[in-house]
Amino acid sequence: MDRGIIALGAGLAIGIAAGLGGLGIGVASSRAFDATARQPEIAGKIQSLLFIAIVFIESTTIYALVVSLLLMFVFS
Amino acid sequence: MLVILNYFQAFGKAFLDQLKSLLPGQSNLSDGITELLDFGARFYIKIGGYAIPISDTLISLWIAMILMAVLGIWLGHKPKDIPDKKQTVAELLVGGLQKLCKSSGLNEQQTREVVPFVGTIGIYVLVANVISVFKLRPPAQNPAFPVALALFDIIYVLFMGFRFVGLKGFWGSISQPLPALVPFKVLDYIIKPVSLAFRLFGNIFGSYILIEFVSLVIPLALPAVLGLWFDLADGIIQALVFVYLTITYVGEIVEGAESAREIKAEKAKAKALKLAAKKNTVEPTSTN
Repeated sequence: MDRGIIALGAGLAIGIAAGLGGLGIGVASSRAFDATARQPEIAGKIQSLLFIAIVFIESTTIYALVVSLLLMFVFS
Repeated sequence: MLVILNYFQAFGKAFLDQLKSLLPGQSNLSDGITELLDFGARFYIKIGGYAIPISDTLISLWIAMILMAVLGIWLGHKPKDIPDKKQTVAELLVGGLQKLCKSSGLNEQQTREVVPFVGTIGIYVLVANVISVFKLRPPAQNPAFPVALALFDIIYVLFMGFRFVGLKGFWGSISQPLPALVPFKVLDYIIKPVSLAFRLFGNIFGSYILIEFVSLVIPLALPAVLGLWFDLADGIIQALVFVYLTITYVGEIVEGAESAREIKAEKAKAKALKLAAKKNTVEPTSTN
């Protein structure tokens, strides 16, 4: 198939996923910092919850990374 | 001022020239990349009529296993009443895992049963990821390793869930908010290993490709700096995430079963109260 189209698809996939994932992590951590500032005594708990949330958000971006790597190396 | 500017211009030009002289040497850059993606066997061991393929992944895993065994035996060797340095480290690891288990809803007995397996998986993934510091291929960049690990993990989670809460409790944890959602909850147990495998594979494979690509193009100093994050920190984080998710999955089943039992008890109580109230309201009218 046309390699240019495949490269475009791979770039778009990772670009959109990374952008939206970054947005999600930003929202999550800003709320977590708000909560920490309001209630510093449960900072540890908020931190661990934030950690899980970020891992889950990040994993969706990593699926896109896998897809774009597959596009680049397997289908081209 | 002008001298400094000229100096930097000359430096930039020389650097670019260097890059350009490097690149034609690697004119077949895509060949270099495709060579990295070769998961095939290096050599074969012939036993009887069978030839067992030995790939890079397997060799890295064997080295990781030896390292893990040495680390484990060294850390757990001859425990004393007054802990020295290495025993403090071991106790810190086990204590952290126990705290994690308890915070996700397991009790004392269950924690004691879960910690050894989860700790083993954690150290295994950690060593297998960090091994790429020694310029070996990390095992997780071959999809076979994460997929096998995730399947093994989810079978363990289901087994422990059944053992802790029984068949009835497991059904309760599945059908807890609404019985109509049972198919989706069952689907969840298929998606969980897929997501575990993809997360590990994507992270390690992506960082491996990036590091190798950078060291093909700019082999000077930059790969070392990037490797600090992509080999060390990312490997440790992924191992931590794997352990955390395993514990959370077991804890989910246990907590779901408990809350289902509580809801059932509450419903029975409410029913009894209603019946009693009905009796009370009926009785006066009948006596009158």
